[in-house]
Amino acid sequence: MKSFLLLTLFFIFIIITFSSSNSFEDESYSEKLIIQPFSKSQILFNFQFNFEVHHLNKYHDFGFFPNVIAKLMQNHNVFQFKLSLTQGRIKFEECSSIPPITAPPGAELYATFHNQNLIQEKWKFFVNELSGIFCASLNFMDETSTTSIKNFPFENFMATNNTIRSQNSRYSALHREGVCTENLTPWIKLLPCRNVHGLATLLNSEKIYDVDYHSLSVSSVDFKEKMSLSASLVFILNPQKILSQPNWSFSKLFERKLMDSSCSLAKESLVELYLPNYQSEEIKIKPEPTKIINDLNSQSLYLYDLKKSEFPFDLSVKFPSNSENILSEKFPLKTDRITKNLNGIFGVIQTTIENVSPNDLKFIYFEYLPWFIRPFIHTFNISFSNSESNLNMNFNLNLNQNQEFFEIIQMIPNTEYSNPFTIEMQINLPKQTVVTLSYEFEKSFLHFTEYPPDPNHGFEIPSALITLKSTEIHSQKDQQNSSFLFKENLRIYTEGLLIPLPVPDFSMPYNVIAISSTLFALFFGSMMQILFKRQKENQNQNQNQKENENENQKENQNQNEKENQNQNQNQNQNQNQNQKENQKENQKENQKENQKENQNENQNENQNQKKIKRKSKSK
Amino acid sequence: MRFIVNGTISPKLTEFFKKKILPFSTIICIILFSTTIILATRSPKLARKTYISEQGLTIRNSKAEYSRQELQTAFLIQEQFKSLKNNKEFHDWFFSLLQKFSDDFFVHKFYANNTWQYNYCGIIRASKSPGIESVVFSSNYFLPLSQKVLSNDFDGFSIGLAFSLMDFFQYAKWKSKDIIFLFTNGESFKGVQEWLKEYHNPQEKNNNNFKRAGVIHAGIHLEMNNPIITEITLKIEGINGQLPNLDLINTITREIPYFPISLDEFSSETQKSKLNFIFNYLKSKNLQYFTNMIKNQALSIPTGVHSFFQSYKIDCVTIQTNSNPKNPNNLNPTSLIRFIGGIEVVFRDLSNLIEHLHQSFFYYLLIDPIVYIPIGDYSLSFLFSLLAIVIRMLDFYLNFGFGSSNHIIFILFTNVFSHLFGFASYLMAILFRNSQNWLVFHFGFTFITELIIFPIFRWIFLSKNSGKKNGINIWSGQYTYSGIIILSSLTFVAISNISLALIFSFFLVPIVLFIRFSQTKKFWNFLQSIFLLIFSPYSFVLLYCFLFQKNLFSVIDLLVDSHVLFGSLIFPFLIIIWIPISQTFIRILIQEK
Repeated sequence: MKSFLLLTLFFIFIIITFSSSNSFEDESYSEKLIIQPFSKSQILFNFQFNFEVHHLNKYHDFGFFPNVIAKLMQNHNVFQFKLSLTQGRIKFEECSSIPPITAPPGAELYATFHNQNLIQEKWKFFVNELSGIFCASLNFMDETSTTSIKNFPFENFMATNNTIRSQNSRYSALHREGVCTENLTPWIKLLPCRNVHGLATLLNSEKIYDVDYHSLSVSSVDFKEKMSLSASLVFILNPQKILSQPNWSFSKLFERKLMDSSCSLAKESLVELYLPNYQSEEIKIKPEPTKIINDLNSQSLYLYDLKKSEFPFDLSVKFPSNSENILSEKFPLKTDRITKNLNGIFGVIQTTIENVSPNDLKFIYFEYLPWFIRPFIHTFNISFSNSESNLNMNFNLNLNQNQEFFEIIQMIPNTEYSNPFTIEMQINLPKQTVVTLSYEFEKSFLHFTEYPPDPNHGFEIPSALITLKSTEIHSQKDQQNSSFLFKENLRIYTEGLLIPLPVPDFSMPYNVIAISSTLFALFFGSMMQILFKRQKENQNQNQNQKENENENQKENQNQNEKENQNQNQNQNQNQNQNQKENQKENQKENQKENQKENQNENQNENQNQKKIKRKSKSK
Repeated sequence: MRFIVNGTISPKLTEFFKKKILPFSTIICIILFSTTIILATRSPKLARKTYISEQGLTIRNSKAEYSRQELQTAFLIQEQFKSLKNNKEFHDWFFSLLQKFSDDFFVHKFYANNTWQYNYCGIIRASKSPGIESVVFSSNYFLPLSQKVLSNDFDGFSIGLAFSLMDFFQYAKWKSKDIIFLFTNGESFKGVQEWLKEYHNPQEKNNNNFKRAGVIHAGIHLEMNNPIITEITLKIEGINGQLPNLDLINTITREIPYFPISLDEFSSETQKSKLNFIFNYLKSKNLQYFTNMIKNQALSIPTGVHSFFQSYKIDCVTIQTNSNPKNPNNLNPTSLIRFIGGIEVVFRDLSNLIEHLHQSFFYYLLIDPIVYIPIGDYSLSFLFSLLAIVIRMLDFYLNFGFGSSNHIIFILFTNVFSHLFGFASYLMAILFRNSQNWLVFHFGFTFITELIIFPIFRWIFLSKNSGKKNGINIWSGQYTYSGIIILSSLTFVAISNISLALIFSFFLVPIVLFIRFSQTKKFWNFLQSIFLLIFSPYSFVLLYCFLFQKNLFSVIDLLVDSHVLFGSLIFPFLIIIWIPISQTFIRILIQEK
């Protein structure tokens, strides 16, 4: 009997698990490494790990889709989010190809929620949970450093209409967030093969954090029926600095190579190597690529399918002597953001954007400032200048909105201890033209408990974001041949700013207050004493004279009184007796009179009341 | 015993002073002033060793990696410099060097002294950092045909050294701040001034290619003519009487331990000082350092490249290398590597600093790079000098009292008016600080108010009831008011710049103590009273101009700057507080006469 029961329980368990769990067919996972020249001597490595799952169920029994992300998104009703943790900066002016994922230094988080109910609370809990997952200080992205962004900069997730996105979205950035291996470890845990198999084996943390630029990001979308996740790691390194030569290989750069096999769970596992067009004899690439595509404008693609490659896989490139990675194409925009005329209280923030491309460009400029930097909106100035066409136009933000050149999408003034100042505008910038945006601001003097442990370091202001639609730069035909390999919107981040706020002297406030107050008290005390002393002296003299006179008068009076007292003692006694008798009589008379008066008054009142009642009845 | 009774000094206390102290007031004053001098001269013996504050915790943690290989670059560049023949060649050569060794570079062109001048700037980017902070390495260059080069005073080694460091820093992995290499024409300080101005307050439409690297945290200026180094001199100073951060000096002195480091003794500006006439008689070396430091601190005017950084709240120090053949121990080839290695580690420390160097020590004097005298020690001598004036004032006050006046409306009116005027001037100065017109207006108007308007007021308000002369009381009143002005002025100067206040007290206190009024010598009394009338903050400013041979306007500009930059109280005191005092003082004089 027991064995029968056990068997039935066993079968029931198997049926439930098979019915509830997703089959691996509903999930897909792919990994890709894109290697491309970035600037004169730098190379960009882009590791992409993409997940997709269909037919979501409430049990979250996934094969390899990260359960922690799925739970996070469903618990907090998140439609999509994108988190990036970055160290270093990209010099856009120098780059010959745009990194597929650009991010500002520090942490950046963007999220859109399914609905607008309690969105701030949802954001708060979402951020705290995410902070725990990736060991980052995202919990500092509170109400004071969070804003909404109307124009969605991450085009590849575009799925809902604009209004919903702007109402339900939240954006925040922490410029100061340090990025290190403790962020990489939980990120690697999202991958099904961890860093044991597949492309992730190349991720040697010691080497990764030694590069010029490093950006780790996670983005995910929840369509209710299906969910997708993209984990990517971009880093830019200079082989010349690391190896003292331009030639490189996986084993030299990462001290690792792909040993066993690709990740068996991956549907596809690719390595794409983009190089400037060389003659096949000049450049030596090992191992031989699966496919070579030479059609791209001034570049060749060397494609490796790791499912078909031999292992150990150690890609190595040996360049011809005197070769350079420079591509002919120029980056379309030049940006510069500075603070000027800074003093203890005021300052000016100025952003300059120059269109160096041969075409007119339309882009979205987005900027937000923490509440303790208070910009004066009346000083906001936008000027367009072009030395060739003698264009020189100045616009005031309030009065002369010129839609030909710019249009304000949203502007949210800051509130103390609450929301930051936000401005989002669309700018149409003609070719070879410079637009300069500047405004004055005032620094807040914080309460001494609100300063961080190193207040003299200054306060970091996040980078401004310029979003350029991919179609704006090239026509579709050009785009296919362009060396700029971005398919989504191009995001350019300006420099962040460091603004020193006025800082109290934390070490000796008591001494300073005590000494200065004493000095001031002594000074003003003595001044008042000198100014009013004569007055007081005269007053005192007058008072003394009066007092003397009064005293003499009193003495005379007292003497007279004493003499009179002796003489009039008998008379006074008689007078007193008479006075008492008179008083008693007067009291009696008064009492009688009062009684009579009271009686009369009462009678009168009664009569009046009766009259009123009669009148009311008659009515 | 109660000191004050009914708003006046207690009669018992007055009696005590009159009988026990005032008969000996002259002797007491002489003793007090002598104590001032003795304490000031003894204070170097009370000096203590400096200590490293929380900002400099990383000192001596890193090892220098600069090697002979990098040094070869410096010598190579020096040889190239020697072969240059004209300014155009120099410009092209410098441009190519910047292109080769820096991540970012630009040539800053500006117009000064009727010619176009150039600053060369190369930036080494700390690629891992967000690029919002930087440190500056500054050095001079001399054009090939300049007298300095022709007289072999300058052989281009400092340029070579700077570029070799640039080459080295380019590959250094520890950088967390950008490093700006600035080369300015050594013939004048104008280059640094213009560069700093353009960096912080850029003019529109000029220098579109001007490159920046965020907030500058600290700077080091190197003056080096000879590859042979035996000694190092540090040039330090600070505006407003404050010295550069002690941590910066500590970092340098502790990271370059192989050379004897001394402080700058004879800066060009302090050499001009009339004080040298007195201070040159001092024989003790410590005392000489002490007096030089007092002079430097009191001067508060830029004396070198490092000084201009102070105006932008950037701590900067000049390191000057010297070769003294009398010191043969350091005349060996390793000394240069050690020195440059020290510079490298200093930059590494500055790069590692999280906080901006800030004034952790406001009032101190350095008599040696590692020995300091705190304010508590040397301010005692200043206090004794003030006490001498107080005793003399009490002497007059208690013996003779004041003159007579009781016109309260006049007092109120003059005070309210003068306060409003002072406040308006103060606001004007802050609003129009870049133009000197307000200064002319202010000073002119102040004299007019004092000399013309107040007699008119006096005529309006006091024509019917003018005061009467009251013998010596007039003079004693004047002495007391002057004493208050001098005391308060000295105190306010001391709050911002105690060294300057100490120097003033050395000059003013003996004169004030010397003045005595008598019943009979009326003309002598009159002369002394005029002398006292001169004692005002004006006289302080004029004395400063005389002692340090400075222009009046530049001094007043400096006062405004020090107030705007560091919140110094001298300027508001002069404008808001001193005018009411001086006008009250004049009121009383008018009334008395």
